[in-house]
Amino acid sequence: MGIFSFIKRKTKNKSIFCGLDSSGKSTIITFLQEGRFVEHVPTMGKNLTEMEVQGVHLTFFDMGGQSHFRKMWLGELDNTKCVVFVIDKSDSARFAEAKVELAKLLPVIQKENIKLLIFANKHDIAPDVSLSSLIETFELDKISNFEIVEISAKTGYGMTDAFIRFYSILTGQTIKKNSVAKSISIYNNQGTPLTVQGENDDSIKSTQFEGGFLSAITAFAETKINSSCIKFQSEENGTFLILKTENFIGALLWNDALEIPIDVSEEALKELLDHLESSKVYKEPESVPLLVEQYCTNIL
Amino acid sequence: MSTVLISIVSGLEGRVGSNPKVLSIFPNTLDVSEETIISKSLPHGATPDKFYEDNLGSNKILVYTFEIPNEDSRNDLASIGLVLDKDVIIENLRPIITQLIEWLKSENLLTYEIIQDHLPKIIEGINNKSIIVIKNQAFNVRCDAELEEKSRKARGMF
Repeated sequence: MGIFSFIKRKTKNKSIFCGLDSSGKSTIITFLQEGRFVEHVPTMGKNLTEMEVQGVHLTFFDMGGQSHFRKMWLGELDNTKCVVFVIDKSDSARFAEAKVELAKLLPVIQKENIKLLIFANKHDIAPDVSLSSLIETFELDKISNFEIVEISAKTGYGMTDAFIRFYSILTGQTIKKNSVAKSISIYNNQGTPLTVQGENDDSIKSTQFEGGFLSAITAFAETKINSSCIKFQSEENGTFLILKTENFIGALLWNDALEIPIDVSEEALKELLDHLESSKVYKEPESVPLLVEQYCTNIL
Repeated sequence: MSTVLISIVSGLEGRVGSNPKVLSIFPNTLDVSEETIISKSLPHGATPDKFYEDNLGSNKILVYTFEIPNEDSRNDLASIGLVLDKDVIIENLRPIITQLIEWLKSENLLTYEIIQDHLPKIIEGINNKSIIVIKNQAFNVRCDAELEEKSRKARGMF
């Protein structure tokens, strides 16, 4: 293999993430890598991130969004399969500026037949801004071959669906979204219930909040065990996985019908609790239900 | 001979609409464009708490990046760049820089204004391995290792 084929392999499945400063590009990429919210300083120029998903190598170029760096975006389109343009849907005052920057990319995107995927980020702050209004504002109906999805790289809302679309566009392959639990409930570290998400089955929800289960959670809260999973079997409902972190306890109801290995569900519960910890919502427990609800769009 | 010849403070603020800029150069004797200084003092791909090395004319430049916290926006990416003589042993200088920035952070002194205002003292403290006093707080530059290579002139007898 010569050196040029090596370079070609390294930039296979190349995507570039563009969008105005503070739109959330780096936060999205980190969420895709780590499954949790991480706040970033501004991107200086560009950053390269590489990932391997199901044996497929993906290359992300995270392009700085400051006006100083925008001239670099066009130069990075060579060999690119997908442009992800990130819009901060909570910042309507900058829609016109974002539209101008997108318009500068469109001739090359269309000429080179590059796929365009638009992430309407910060859905947690602006849930009422509809996709149809964004399509109208950005005149996306004049563009052929684009897709737009709502996400929040802070709460995790829609991130799995967005990644599935992105992966499919980039590689032509599909990833199946799996439900890892029948329901998930979250308690504070004292065992007080904060929220329950899952199947629209009131009996399951009441099971997770009542009786012996809540007693078990409370007893667990009093232990000093952190980050180790306990399991117990309910003949009626299935297997409960319970994990504790510094500020939260999570209980996940799993059963065979999910067709997901139990260790995958355990990992998903751990990631959810890590996400809650890194989002620092223990300081404001009233925001936990929304955060959990939005994150659970990825795993339920 | 001085270890640090020139120091540069640069930053990319976290607020919306910011751009990278050079905030201060001391002494202001660099004869290169601002674009060059930005690219050397805040290299592309720079992330916080890292060192970057490059050449600047006939000298070397050592850059350390760090975060400056903000309450109402993302944190800033800031850097302190030290223009050095080629003979400076960068490995021995790095711990001084990280300890200084950690100390500024721990004393709540890590702001652009304070760093800019005290650049002459910082350079002097590093060059002389002496105490740097900022806002009545003292940082002792401790370094047992040599910061510069001994003369490379041939030793011994011919």
